[in-house]
Amino acid sequence: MSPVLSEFERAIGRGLFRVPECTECGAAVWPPSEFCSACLGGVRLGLGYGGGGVSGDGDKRLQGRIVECSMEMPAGRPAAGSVRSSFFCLVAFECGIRLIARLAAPVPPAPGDVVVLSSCGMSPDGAGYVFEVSTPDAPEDPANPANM
Amino acid sequence: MRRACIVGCGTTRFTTDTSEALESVLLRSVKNLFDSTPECDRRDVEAMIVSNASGGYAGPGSAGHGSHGGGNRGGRGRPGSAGNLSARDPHAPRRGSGYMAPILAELAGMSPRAAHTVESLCSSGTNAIVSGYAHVASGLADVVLVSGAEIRDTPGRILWWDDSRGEFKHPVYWASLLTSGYKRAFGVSDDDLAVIPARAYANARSNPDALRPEATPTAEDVAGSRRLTGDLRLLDCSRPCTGGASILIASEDVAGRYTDDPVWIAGVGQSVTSAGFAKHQNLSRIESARMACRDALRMAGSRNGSAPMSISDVDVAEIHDAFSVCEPMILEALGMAEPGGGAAASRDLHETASRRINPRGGLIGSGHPLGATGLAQAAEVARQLWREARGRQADNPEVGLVHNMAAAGTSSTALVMVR
Repeated sequence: MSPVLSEFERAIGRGLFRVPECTECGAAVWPPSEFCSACLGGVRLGLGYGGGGVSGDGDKRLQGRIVECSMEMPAGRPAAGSVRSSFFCLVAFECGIRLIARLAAPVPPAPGDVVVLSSCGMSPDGAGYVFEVSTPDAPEDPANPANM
Repeated sequence: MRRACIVGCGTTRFTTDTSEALESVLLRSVKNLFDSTPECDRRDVEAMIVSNASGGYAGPGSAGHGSHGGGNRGGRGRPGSAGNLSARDPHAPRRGSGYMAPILAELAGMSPRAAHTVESLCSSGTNAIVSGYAHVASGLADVVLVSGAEIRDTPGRILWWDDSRGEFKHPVYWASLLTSGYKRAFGVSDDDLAVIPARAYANARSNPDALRPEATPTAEDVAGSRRLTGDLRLLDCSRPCTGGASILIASEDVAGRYTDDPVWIAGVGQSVTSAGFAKHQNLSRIESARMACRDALRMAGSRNGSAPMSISDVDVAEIHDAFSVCEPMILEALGMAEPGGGAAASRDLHETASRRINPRGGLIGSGHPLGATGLAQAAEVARQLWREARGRQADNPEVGLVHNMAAAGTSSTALVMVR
């Protein structure tokens, strides 16, 4: 594993999303790679974004807009007291990164809705990264483990 | 460049059997090919290309890792990573191996000059055909055997590399987002899409290789099938399965030894827009399909030395309907429907019981053995052009097209075939 990827995964394992950036042209490099796909420049990790109680660098939050979304079908019954459904959304972040994230919301989101990255991490089964977004200033759903 | 043509093909029944070895499935399709092409001596084969979505190597016992199968990004410790390479589960079925093309050559009693494997996930089959075509067109070989197979629980189903998908790596998630995007862009309903699997399964009833030719779901059955996500139902999905398919490609110099009715590969088009799903800039269209088919038709026209070939010249086509929404999107990409008109075109195909598109049932109706799919599509078009498709025969086709894609349509390969 390259040093950049190794460092990225250490950070995301702590809930911190550090944007991989090209040292030459400044473009976001996503998924993280050793070299920039635009100019083949080197890559460094920028400041980290956290959220939802995750320790980040200051109060910055990574903001983006929903490109498209669909609803997850619950495997079992929803948690008691939960009024939210779970959606998976393709999100375009303002830093240039696009990824699929989970969103818990009381009503279906729509393309163009503004969201922020609220948490990130490594999947417990080792299958890759996990991302969650929320609408800015959304109240927490105490019945949703994602917000605990 | 020399002209190249298909002179024989062989396919296996598609099944759910996961106990078979990959090389056994490959070998059976090769035997079926030579049984139906007795004019060809196996010693005539100068090159062999094997198609498999795991690159031939699924690894001993690596496939059964939860619902994810194995992995193709083992370096990051994803499921299916190589782990202890010296340890082999003695109870695990033999999933496959590296070096699969020479293995198949040995098992089939052939000693070609070249033998290698092509892996490109779901479009491995047509990309292997392109490799075989290139061998013949360039003069490297006169006769090339292209053979593809997959075992149902192949790790090739999921692109583990694509971390932009987060935890939503299974294909049902990209299919859901394309479905949502397509419906939203063009005002298409779930009911509009439900006719697509109904027609696919209806066509597959006359395909003896189909996974479940006895299945006869109606559009109402599709609409009522279990919801996997907010935009995708179970019967909207093609099923991974075990199966194999092979074709024999010959140069124009030697084709006459094997057949007096060759099917020419007149046009080849390929397009790669990205690898990661999140790079899709427009979720209501499949750009790689449009470019690949455009280029294949353009090449076919120029090879004919006549007017440019257009999509209206295509009498029969096998297109990559991995999920319901793919059919209208590809019909639009091919130019068989206007943007947004694909769902109406699919309904028209359904109501007229047309065999012009996916006469064998497509991926939804027939099943989707990844490495064999593109080859099974090409074999079907060849049989259609030979008028050997029996109960699923289209009306007097002279020109056929194959469209095969991979990883949410981030790449496509198209072939134009003429009699």
